[in-house]
Amino acid sequence: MTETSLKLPQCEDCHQPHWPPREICPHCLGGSIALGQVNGGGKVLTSCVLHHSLSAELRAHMPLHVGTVALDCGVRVIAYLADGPQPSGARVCVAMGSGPSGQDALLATPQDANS
Amino acid sequence: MTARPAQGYEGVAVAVPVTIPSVRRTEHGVQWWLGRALAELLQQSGIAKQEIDGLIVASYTLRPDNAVSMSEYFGLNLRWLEDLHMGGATGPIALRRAARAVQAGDAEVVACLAADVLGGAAFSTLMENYSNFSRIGAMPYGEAGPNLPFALITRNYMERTGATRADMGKICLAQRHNGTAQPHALFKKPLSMDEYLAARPVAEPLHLFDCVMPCSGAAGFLVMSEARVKSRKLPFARILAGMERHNSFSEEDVQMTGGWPLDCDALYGAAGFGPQDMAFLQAYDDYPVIVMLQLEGLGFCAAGEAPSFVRETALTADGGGLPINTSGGQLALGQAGAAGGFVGLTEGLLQVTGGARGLQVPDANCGLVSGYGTVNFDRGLCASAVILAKGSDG
Repeated sequence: MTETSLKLPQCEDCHQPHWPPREICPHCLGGSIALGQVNGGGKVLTSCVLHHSLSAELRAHMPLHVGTVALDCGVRVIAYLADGPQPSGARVCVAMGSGPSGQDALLATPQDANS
Repeated sequence: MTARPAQGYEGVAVAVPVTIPSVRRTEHGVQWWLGRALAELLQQSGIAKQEIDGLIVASYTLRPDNAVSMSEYFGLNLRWLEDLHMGGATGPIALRRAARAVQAGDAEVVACLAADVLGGAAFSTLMENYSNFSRIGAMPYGEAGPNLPFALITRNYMERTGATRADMGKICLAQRHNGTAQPHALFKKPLSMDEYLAARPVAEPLHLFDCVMPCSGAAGFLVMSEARVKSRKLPFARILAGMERHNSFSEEDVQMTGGWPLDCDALYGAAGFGPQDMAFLQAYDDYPVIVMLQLEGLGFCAAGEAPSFVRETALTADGGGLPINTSGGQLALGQAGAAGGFVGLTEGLLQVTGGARGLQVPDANCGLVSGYGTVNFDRGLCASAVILAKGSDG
């Protein structure tokens, strides 16, 4: 995993990334969006520890640590805190990976672990 | 550009708040629940079905039907019809919409109905399909439904303001106290602080008693001219002011503010009253932190000061402070989807007309009802509020 392994939807007109994915840019309303490489570095804003899930499959994986991360590229994402709890303000690196039941998910790991 | 001041709601009356008590399990479809609320509106008002010429329907689980479908289902001949999908903000917004229709003469009598059937698997199905952003950006992270975004909002709020679990608990305890007097409450037992604090964690920092129980239920009210309501000798309320906002403060990394502060001064200015004059606050209560955001956004205390406000203020309906969610709110009555968005409004109407089913606030001549809802991704996008005043108790 490297800091450049995160691809987010990006406007081909104003070149700004966004999340969650749209077909219209929320900044300039441009209608051409493509995946673009962004720096996955960011900061944990807030987090929680899930003990309950609506999915029976996921209940076996509890507790799960999930946080909101402000990426340096200006985008805010919800991501799994893959190495366990992270305090607010902690530097992390976000990359696309797999969640506990194998589905695509954004994973945030402590930035030190990637350096 | 400064917005023009909004017109008032003179000449409009809101009456006949009805609730079809919520249940955990139901054999009926959502149409039955909507229909029972409509029948109850007619029965309690003495208004004939033929007189209803406007209808608002709020429901998550009505699909593939919609408000139009209900005109045929109930045999209504309408000249004004609206489908409203604004979750917990729907009550005050439905009232605003209906009041404008009556003022403009587009409708004479508007029935506002909300119902959902959300027991068991229906809640999971709704959450899976709640919104595109949620499906891609939030649900893959634990499939936790609304507990995830509200746990994230709550943690951030606690860290930034110093709010403690006991502060959140004070709101929950007050509402459960109010709910003990409600014949309809799903949770009738009072809650102690020890029980609250010892509850099992659900999505830390949220624990069991911070979370509302999904259920099935329905609610409704009628909006018509003051002349018409007086001719029927029905108890009614007036609307002194109202507001709604959507996707406000989107620059906040984590939601700390609903849309209310943008209209707070205008709201009280139009009403001619201040927060200190409100006999109650019926605040949307999906989680206690959201009640705190409403206390701040609607001027009961400054931003970030709701924790000290709740420490210092009695919140029960009979405590002499600021009565909050005098029916017990959704924490006691359950969250029946869109009908949960009517809980505050129907209770506010009962309070100002002196007809509370549970604890009646003395001299409740004027009070505030606020709504909040629709977590499309990581925050509630809709904020709403109305100030209600006693019209006549019939």
